[in-house]
Amino acid sequence: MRNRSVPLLPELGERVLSGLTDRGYFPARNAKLSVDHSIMVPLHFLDPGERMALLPIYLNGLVPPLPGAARCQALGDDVRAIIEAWDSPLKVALVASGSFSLEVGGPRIADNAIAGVPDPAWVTHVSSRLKAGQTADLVAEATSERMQRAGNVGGELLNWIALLGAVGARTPEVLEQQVSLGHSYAAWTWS
Amino acid sequence: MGKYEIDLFNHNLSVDPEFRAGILAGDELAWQSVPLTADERSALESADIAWLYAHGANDFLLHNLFRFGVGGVRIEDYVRGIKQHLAGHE
Repeated sequence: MRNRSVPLLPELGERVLSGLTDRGYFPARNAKLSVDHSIMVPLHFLDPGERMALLPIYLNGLVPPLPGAARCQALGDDVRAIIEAWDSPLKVALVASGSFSLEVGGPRIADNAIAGVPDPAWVTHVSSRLKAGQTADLVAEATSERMQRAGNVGGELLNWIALLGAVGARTPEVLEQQVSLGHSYAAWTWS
Repeated sequence: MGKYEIDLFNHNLSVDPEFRAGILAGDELAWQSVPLTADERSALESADIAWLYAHGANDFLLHNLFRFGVGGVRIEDYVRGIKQHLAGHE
């Protein structure tokens, strides 16, 4: 995949930054950010015409101590509220990416690869929670210990949980598991 | 110096193409840009995965040694090195 620049949405960025600060979060800003596969691969498939502007929001899903799942859910809910209050003709899509179970470079990698899926049962379980809209149960289950038991990047589930905070009580219109790769694909729509 | 410097080295491999090229070319200035002890440098140069992990290196960042071919580490060497930790704890 070639390197390219992606246009940002500074007006929305300012709104999200100030809105989250007003709500008691401590967000940090970065005005010049190199984004990697976690953003560019989904964008490659969602926006092949390269027309979209972007507002990246990062959570720490990798380095302990991880943020609490309930806090991440609330964050997503607040981001949705800030966007809904934005007087703009633009349509906004919220996109999250991350594994449910994945170990990269750690002791639980596969025997012949640099990564592995140490907890496929957790992938199936998380996927079933997503499909049924059982967000409260998932948030209660997604402790730091549980997520890290699913791999050294298992905390990426927090990205999904933040998205679920914005999604609310809706169930996904589509959900496809990829247990062997440690994740799923899902989509929700509303207007 | 410790875990931070090892992690910084492995992080720089991923985010700093100039640093990475220097390390792979054996450029002394690139090596000296991170304050490593002699033991740490030796372990990184030889991609001694077991030693680095045992001395606190972040495992996610450690995989950059394999990803970028530092020390000529092969996948079987990496797997054997990183899983030594498990073998010692089972």
